[in-house]
Amino acid sequence: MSGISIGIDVGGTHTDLIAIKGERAVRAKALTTHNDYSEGIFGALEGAAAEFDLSVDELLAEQAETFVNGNTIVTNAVAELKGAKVGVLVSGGFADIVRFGRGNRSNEFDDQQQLNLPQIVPKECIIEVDERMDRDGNVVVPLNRQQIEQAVRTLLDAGVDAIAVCFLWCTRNDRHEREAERIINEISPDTFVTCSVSAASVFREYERWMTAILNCYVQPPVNSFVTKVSDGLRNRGYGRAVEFFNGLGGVLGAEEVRKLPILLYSSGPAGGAIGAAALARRYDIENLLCGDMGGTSFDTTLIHDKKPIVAQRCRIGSFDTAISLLDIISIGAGGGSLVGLDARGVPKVGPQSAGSMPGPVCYGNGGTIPAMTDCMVTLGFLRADNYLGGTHSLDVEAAKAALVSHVGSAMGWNAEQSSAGAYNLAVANMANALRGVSIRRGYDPRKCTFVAYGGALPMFAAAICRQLNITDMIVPNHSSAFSAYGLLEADYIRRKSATIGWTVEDRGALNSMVDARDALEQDVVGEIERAGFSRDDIQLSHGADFRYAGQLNEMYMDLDRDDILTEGPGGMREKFDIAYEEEFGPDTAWRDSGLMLVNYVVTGIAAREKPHIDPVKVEKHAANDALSGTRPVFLPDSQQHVETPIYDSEKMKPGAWFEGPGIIEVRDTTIYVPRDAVVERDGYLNFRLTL
Amino acid sequence: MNKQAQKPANAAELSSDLDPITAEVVRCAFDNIADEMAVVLLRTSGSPVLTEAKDFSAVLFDVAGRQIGSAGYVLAHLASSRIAIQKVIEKRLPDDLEPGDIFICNDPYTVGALHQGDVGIVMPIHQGDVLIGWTFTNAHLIDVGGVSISGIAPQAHDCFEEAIRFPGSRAGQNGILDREWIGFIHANVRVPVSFINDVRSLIAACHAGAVRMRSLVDEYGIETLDQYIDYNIGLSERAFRERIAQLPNGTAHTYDSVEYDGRGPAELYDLSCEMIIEGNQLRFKFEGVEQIDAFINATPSAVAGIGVITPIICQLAFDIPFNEGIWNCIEIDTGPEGTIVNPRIPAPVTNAHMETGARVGRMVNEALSIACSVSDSPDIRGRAAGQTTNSGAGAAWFGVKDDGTLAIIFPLDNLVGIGGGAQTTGDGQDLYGFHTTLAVSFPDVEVHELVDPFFVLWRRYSLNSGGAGYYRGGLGMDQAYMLWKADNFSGSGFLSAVELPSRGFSGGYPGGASRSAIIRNSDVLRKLASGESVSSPEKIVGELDILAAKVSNVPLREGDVYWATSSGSGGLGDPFHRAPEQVERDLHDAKISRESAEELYGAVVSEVNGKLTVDAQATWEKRDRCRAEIVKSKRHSLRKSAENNAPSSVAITQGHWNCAHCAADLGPKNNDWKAGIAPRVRAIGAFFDDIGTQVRTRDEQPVFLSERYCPECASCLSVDIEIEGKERIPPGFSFRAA
Repeated sequence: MSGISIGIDVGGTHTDLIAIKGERAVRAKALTTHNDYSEGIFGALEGAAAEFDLSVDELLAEQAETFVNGNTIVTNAVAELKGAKVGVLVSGGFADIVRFGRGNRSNEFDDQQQLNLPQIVPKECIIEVDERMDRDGNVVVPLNRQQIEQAVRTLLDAGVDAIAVCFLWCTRNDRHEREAERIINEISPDTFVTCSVSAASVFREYERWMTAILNCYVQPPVNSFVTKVSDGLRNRGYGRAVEFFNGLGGVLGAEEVRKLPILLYSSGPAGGAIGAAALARRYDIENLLCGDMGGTSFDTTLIHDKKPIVAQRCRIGSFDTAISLLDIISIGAGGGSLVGLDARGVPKVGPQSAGSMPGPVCYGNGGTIPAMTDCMVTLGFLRADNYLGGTHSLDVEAAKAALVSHVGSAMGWNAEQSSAGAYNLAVANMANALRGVSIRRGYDPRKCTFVAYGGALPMFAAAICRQLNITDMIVPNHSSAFSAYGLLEADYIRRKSATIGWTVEDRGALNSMVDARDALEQDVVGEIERAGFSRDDIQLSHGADFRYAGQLNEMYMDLDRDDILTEGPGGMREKFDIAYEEEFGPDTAWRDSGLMLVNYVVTGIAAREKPHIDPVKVEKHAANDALSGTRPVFLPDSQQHVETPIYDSEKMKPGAWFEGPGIIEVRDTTIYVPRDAVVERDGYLNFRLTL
Repeated sequence: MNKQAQKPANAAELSSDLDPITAEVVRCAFDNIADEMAVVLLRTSGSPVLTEAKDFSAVLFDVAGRQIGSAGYVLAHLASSRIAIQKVIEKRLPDDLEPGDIFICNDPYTVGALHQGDVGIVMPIHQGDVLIGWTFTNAHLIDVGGVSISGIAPQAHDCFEEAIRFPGSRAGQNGILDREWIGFIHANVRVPVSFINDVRSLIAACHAGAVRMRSLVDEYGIETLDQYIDYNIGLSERAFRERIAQLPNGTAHTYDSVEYDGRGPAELYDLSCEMIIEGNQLRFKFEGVEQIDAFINATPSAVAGIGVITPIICQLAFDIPFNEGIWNCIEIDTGPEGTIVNPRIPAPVTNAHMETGARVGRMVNEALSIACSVSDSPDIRGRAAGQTTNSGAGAAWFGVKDDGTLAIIFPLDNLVGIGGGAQTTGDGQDLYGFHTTLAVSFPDVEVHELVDPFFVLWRRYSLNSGGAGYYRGGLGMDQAYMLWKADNFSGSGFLSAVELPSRGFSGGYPGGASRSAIIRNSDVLRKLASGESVSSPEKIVGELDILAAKVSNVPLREGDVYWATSSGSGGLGDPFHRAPEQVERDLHDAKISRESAEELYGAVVSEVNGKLTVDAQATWEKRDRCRAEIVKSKRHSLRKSAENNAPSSVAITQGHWNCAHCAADLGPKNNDWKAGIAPRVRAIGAFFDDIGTQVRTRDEQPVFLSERYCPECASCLSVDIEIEGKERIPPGFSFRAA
């Protein structure tokens, strides 16, 4: 690749950009501009272009080969419940399912926290129509065209921006949903419509319907974002298609995004996971845990066999949906997480966050409750006079005073001891989250490499590894822009599933199973071809959700294309029994029960060209040249001030190593290397720690 | 057994040389272990009772049998697991225990099960040969033998008919189920394969817990871990004692009655509750009438779990990590044996949890509201709430499908789709479930139709089921289904509150009650054959057969429609104080009917362009007029009263009860303020019928609403439920220490 690949991650606060040309990678940052995101995007582009000694127009018109965008528009719209006015047509008798789902009760002890699901569709915009299929897809009550027309007019009069069509058993027979869609298109061609069967062709109406409704809910803001970005880039001379990153870690074209904008949910964390998967390929690592710590949360996932794990039926905000996303666990532990005492007088960290306004106390923006960032400046990990490369200064004294008054005075601790306590708690919380994605799924964290990125996590990562007995850790070179970098490592992915409900012992129904599989394949291939790939570029993989007769939850298993044809010893059934016992332990398979293949899943991947990064030559040497001085840091493990060596990353050449304790200062990242750990900068310029 | 959990009432002494951060890390690790056990159970179980209704639990114990970690789903199992572990320890230690032993516990009388359907597994955790702790998992299994399916037997006369009982029997060794025992199960339950599968899931979950516990012991060493366990138990105990100390010394007292109509006449069985606050200790004293020969009698864990610990956790200790320390602050006295609150063998108990247990829970819920509302602390006063209904419309069906296979169906929809009590922070949650069931849900319509021989006609809110109030109680659900590709099923039904709904608090009104019915000989199949919609009761013609609350052997034939309406919960504060805009919003949201808005909320409603609107000014005027007719001495406007301290109703100032809204003096605090105000009494049946709220009218011993208004501002201060012929002191607080 001779041109420049650009990945740009539009986050809640910052717009991060990474541009790669050959071996050279530059990163740039701008504040996210929420009223018009393209401003922030062009701001970051200015910065990057300058590094290449180009104008933005030159960069876009002459050099840029790829432009991949990840954004938080969908995530924010759902989190803040700011979306379109949606109308819903729903099977008669079941309008209230849109309102109460499968019941409202959460896992909270506190009755005052038991609230109804947020009502994103007003009651008067949920209209029941006469129609009903049975579970086999036979029409029981036919659709009434006049009634649909009248309902659509009522919705349009109410001022809806989009309409979701939500019928029972459309997965067995989509005729009614399609007919309703046609009628809406006839009456109002400009109204955006999503049929639930198009949003997710899987059974369980509530998740499918919510997927369609949320898709409508986020469509207008996404649509205008896509238009702004595509037009803006085209006007500045970018001649290729802009690609958008989705929560499954793949990319979509602009037209697909306009149709299924909900797929952009959680694309930010997915960027980091895809970047980590690329590292796993580069280093040939079997199992890798990765983590990112932002202002409000810590996100983690596991990369097995160089591929991220996919979770199905994901919850989006408060809503259950049929969407598949990368299986990322998120907990409320970030730089802005508040530090205080709980009802028993025991210190706690999070889940509440100081947010960006007023932010931590040390920002001096009016925050009074100490946050994790206050602890880190108090301990001496962060330099008060040189935060984020000297762009901000931090008020250490205010941070210390707040820590003493909110934690220390009750515990008999000074500010440093209070901070160390909070640090250790945050580390324990994050280690528990890592356990959740590893041990709970049957992977041993001790056999994993931990990849820590983002600006803050490298201060905590080594301590997290020590809790889990992880001995190998990597902090990527462009740690703070790693999620943006991950965008460039994405492939073109389409994942389609269909509810089949095939009892695998029923060989008579095998033919219709085969037909369904073939139809899914065609569907996936067709979509990827329409995005400009040829059939030869596309790799298909298969899988299915199974459950034993009598179970209600499914377990997913990868399949070979012709596994459904096999029976007896070594056949699909036996394969599943084995996989099930690997997951849940010996003697747990329901060998006496039938097996049902519930959903069949076909995934198509068309590989995109990736940045080509070759390691540079490494000459191992002590990092003495990079030593820029020492400063007292209160180390949470030894509970005392230690005069700690500080290293300047700019001067750490490949092969440079030192033994902790020490701190590596990168412009926007701080890496903590504890006692008895060794760090070496490797040929990819990444920092590799041996603990 | 009639007393549990006594420990001297001295506050925990906390060792000072332990690190609170490590203590917190250890505590989270214990809860994580329990969570992991729960995940294994959820993912492997075959029962919707587990996967959707979350009727299971996973609890971790230390070597001494103290609770140290739990996965919160059914809170009541915090009581049952504790009894089970204590009994297994008593019976097996020191000599009769090997690593990998599997003990099965479902006997309510000996090992603490809520009812026989809840099958618990207790397993020891060993490190080498050394016992280091215990795991407990349990789940409601769909069949445990006996005369009825679903583990709930309305027709049984004694506990021997109800189900097989396992008093902590050894069902396997070295983590493997005993073949002999499996054979025994095959001969005694209707669906042995799924029973054994679920027991295997329970064992797998215990196994997962043991693995993690061992690695924790490796990390810390058993002695250090023990110290941190003591420390954490002490922390929770101290925090809860501080909370209790914010309640005034004295006694909150209330009553209820259990409904039973399963053998003909609709009987009521009385029970009462005293919650005695002595400094930083809570003592509960329950009394009940003589035990009966039907499934309503409460088991020890139904009283301690559903009745006591659930409301304690959700209302008062909601932010304190749960462990043995909370139990240390509570004493429970259920009086002599032989009553519905302390039955003896052979009293049947399969519905203990949903009947007497749930009523005890309602009483404690109310007693806590009463005590909180007279606390000096505004935070504690804010914990008062409308009573949560704790009652739904249960049913179970049994029959042969057209394809020849046997079906046992236990649809939990109308047990989960029940409202939650109104809170001081807002309206109660709709479709909240029983107080004790966290994170509960019901299966999708498509899941039912795929798995069961059902065709669902509608699933919607039960209109008007939320109790009226300044904050409204949560609503229940209304659902109908019929058989599909099946005929001649037989069912049972268990509705615990059809005549005595949940009560409001502070002038809030009761929620709606439950009802189940079958529309027989309906025209549904004929209509569907001609493509007509049957998506609401108005579209169906047939004979409405309203079922008794407790029934068995109910036939359900092809074309019959089973229709269940579930109850909502009590409101909080005077509904005449509710903002007219909120009443209008409830009308638009179709949560209340026009009649209800006009009668219960005093709203002036008109229809403009097909939309119901509430005239705020006219509403406040109407409210004042209505109340002035009842309270002749009324001299303040309700609008003004509504601005003062709603949804509270009474407060203590300078040793006197006062109206919280207008400060009218209601007498010295050592008197019962209710005794000084003559109530307005109306029959609940006729009143609720008029406004379209579900309740079954009693012919004998009818039920009345007893409403008390402030003599000066005419705000409604309390709405009690009374039964003719039963002279009981209305719920209240007595400051004189008992």
